[in-house]
Amino acid sequence: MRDTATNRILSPPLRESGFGDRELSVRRLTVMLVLWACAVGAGLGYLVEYSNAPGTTGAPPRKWPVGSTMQPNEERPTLMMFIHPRCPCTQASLEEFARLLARCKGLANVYAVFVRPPGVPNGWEKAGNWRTAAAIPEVYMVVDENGAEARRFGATTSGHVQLFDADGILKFSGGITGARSHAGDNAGADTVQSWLRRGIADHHETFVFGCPLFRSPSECKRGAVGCHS
Amino acid sequence: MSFVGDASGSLTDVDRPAETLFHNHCDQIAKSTDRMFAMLMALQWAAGIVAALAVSPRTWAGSIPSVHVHVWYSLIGGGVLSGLPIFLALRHPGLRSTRYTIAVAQMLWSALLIHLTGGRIETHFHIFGSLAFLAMYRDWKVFVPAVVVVALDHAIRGIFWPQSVYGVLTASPWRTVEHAAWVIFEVIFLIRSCRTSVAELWDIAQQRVRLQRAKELTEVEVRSRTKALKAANESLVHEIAERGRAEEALQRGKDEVEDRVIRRTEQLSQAKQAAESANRTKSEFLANMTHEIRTPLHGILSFAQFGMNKALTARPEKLLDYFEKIDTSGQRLLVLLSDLLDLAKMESGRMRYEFKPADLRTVLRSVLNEFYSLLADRNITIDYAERDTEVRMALDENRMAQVVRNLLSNAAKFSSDGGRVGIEVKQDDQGVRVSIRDHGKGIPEDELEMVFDKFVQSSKTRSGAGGTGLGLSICRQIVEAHQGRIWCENHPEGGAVFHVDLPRTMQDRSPAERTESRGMTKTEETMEQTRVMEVS
Repeated sequence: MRDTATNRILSPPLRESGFGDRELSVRRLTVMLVLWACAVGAGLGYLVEYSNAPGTTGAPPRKWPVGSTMQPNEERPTLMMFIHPRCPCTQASLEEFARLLARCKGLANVYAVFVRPPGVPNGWEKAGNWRTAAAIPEVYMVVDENGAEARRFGATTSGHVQLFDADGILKFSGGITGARSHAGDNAGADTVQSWLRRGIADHHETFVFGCPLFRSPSECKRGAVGCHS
Repeated sequence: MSFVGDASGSLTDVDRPAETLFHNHCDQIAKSTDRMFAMLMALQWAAGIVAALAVSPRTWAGSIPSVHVHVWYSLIGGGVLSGLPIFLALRHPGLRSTRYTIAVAQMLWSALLIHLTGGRIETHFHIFGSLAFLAMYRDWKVFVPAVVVVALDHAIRGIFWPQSVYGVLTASPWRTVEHAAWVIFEVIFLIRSCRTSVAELWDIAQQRVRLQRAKELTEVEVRSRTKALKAANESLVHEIAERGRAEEALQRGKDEVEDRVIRRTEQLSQAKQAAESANRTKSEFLANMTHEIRTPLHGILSFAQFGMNKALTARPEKLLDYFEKIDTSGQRLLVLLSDLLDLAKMESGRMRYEFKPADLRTVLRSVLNEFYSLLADRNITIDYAERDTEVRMALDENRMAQVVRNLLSNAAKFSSDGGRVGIEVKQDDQGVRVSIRDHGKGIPEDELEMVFDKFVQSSKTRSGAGGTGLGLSICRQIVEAHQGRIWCENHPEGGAVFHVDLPRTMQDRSPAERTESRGMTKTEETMEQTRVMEVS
């Protein structure tokens, strides 16, 4: 359409840029795009799988272990999280832990148990996770030398949360994140909160997403450093 | 080439260049945006690696660390995700497939970022920012694959893993719709913005072509005007040169007039000086004449008075002495008056010469006879050896005798008693030279020419020698009337020598010579021998 005043064509012409060119044929481009899409899809799939791959869980005791150096509170529940001091995935668990405790303030006796593997220097455990946990109010910081307490409580993955009632009976065992390093709504935190606030819970166990607290048994059998003697 | 919309009328000469310009501009924009996204992809890749290294560089199994999966994933996965868009942007910029691939990749980066942050709502802004960046292509179609990827990502993850995209365990399908609606909301405005921008590009292209045409027309006009101005300038330069030449000619004329005025002024000044000099000469002449006339006249009158007073008492010898002195003074007065008469004739141009063939020896002989008694009284010897052959030439005998008489008189006058006066006549083919020499004091060198002036006497002879100072001047005029020359010099042995050079003409040859050479008859020869000349 032409403007009669200025004699200009008002509608611009269609753009001429092609889908391919002399060097990049459509067929070649299609192959490239397909390969690229497959690679990207595979990468995203691996990432999803990695994010949703839980850590191993041991055999948590039904009651508070007798040999534990920690004592359960006889007046209220005891909530504890076993933490690898340097596991980056546990930051999300600690974030959820802090959010959970904020919602259930004063309803439980809380321990943050930092597993200190054998052979590490003094102060090794006071890394980023230590500082995050220390910032949470009303949390008892416990250093678990050589992971003895973790073994007693059957915790093998960082971020493992266990809830005992005032009688020392295990009420919940598992993680409080929905996926690895993913803070946010999750079944574990909802279960703990429900039990603390209302005394009931839908679940008793969830997956734990975090770093292994110990070397794998196969590695320890091969004489790897850092295994419990 | 086709136009969007109903382009009415035929394409003008502006439309096709505008199309080319428009497409070039769009292509440049697409290519520059491709390059920008190549950098953005690389930046996101690098940022992912940096974030992985900063947040989770290592994972742990007990006391044993290892590189975290996120680090490897950011390195490899990010490279795969950004690799193809970067490759296409750098190797094949401007293609639609390139920008569509970039759009998909950019949306996948957004999805990855949202997933890694656990569905943080803030990271969803990466989608909106990326869409805004894609709008820089000014191609609304690029939003299609972008929106499709976003919608699918949200739909799939919203259904199967809402925590990854929304950060919650469960999400309503409407939440995906809501997110998609917000994306579409933005895309609608971006599409409108793209279309407006493209329309502006098209308008700019048309305007640029029109401006270019106007510029070309202006340049043609400027060249034409410049050419005219150049011609006018050359004409002006020519006119200035002409005017310069005219001014130079005028200046030359002015200079000539000034020179002429100066010369005329000088001539007038010289004429004035000459007139004043003539006036002075006249005054001097009158004074001289008065003196020269009064002196002998006074002698005549005085001695006549003496004679009358003493006629009865004086002795006869005394009276005779008076008469002799009266005679002497009278003779002097007569000579003076004769000279004055001759001078007056010469000055007035009325001197009459009668040239006749004559023998110069005859002239000399007659004058010597006149002086014989005078020279004898003073015991002055004349050294003159008369030539055997005649010295024939055309002469006014009386005037030439006057010259010889004057020179001989001067020689005698300035010779001491008992002295010698020499006369010599030389003749060759060119002429005759008559030389008269005395043995007197001579003439100062600076006065040798001046003595021929009127009323001028040599400083050495001025006292007591007598004379009017006109004789030599009259001699020069007579000699020059004979085509000759008179001059004087001092003799090395003393005394002055006056030379008279007279040229010989055909008429001066002997009759035998002329008859022989020209074949004249006797009658013709006689007629030719006599000629009368008035010299002015």
